[in-house]
Amino acid sequence: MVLAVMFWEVVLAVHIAAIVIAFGVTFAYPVMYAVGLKSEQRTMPGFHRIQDVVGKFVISPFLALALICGIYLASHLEQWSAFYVQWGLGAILVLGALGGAFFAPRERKLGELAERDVAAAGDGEVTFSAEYLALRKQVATVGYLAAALVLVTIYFMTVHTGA
Amino acid sequence: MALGASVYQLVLALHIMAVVLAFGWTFMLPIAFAVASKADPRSLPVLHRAEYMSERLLLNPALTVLVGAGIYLATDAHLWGQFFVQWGVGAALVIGYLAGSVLIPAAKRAEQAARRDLETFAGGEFAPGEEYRAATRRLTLFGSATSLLALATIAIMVVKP
Repeated sequence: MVLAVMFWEVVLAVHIAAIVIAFGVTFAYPVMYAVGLKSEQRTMPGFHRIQDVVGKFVISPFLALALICGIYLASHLEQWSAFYVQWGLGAILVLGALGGAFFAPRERKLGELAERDVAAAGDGEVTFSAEYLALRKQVATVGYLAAALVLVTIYFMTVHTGA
Repeated sequence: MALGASVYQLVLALHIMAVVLAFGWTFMLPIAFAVASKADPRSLPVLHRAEYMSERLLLNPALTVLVGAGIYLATDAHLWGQFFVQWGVGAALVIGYLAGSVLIPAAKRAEQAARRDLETFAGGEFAPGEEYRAATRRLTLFGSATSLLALATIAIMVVKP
């Protein structure tokens, strides 16, 4: 067994681990939503608060780490002209922009709306407002598109399309 | 630009996608539980339920795809004698065992204990009972071990020692 490791291989491992940590969480959100909405609607404000914190302290830093590692790898391996590198760079910028400009403010808003609807229900059954449901649908739709973009990007990165 | 891919590459992509789906979400659990404990302890039981439901609906099926794809890759490329393949198979088996026999039962116990503790909770700082603390200690210990094993396995798979 040979244990010698090239530095770029370590960077590649960090790049993949960062992608796993940054994007894996988003695939669990539908399960969390389903469990929360089905069994305990009063916990939805808490769920949205968690999404907001996870976006700030898990997704954003590891997205940045994946980007930095990707830039190093593309430079070191002279792959900037390859399609999969350009796609990967574009995808990470789109996902980062979506995180900051779309998901973060809407998840905060969802938390506020859920809190308002839960408070309005008092001790009775919680009925979420049309405003909350419409915004949740919008966030979920874009979330599914972002997840599809992640999977397509993993495919291009693995196959090295255009290399 | 060549858009075509071999079956081997397609299966490899599926293998990596399965890693993202199986393990990625587990890294947010410490933050999720820290936020819930501090800001909204009443959401702890449902969060533990979401935890074991994610293990059933995400981790287990994705781990099965991951192992199936890994077996195809190792067989197709004649790599069964390689350390990284043997480590990968071993890690998948250990993680599958831990999920089924430790993490899911501990998350269920934590959910039930949190529900009982919350019956007497009237606001302020949530002070969970010993049963809840024991279950979450187990979850933290084995959950962290699982996450570290997943990261070590990613590194070994990439470096291929």
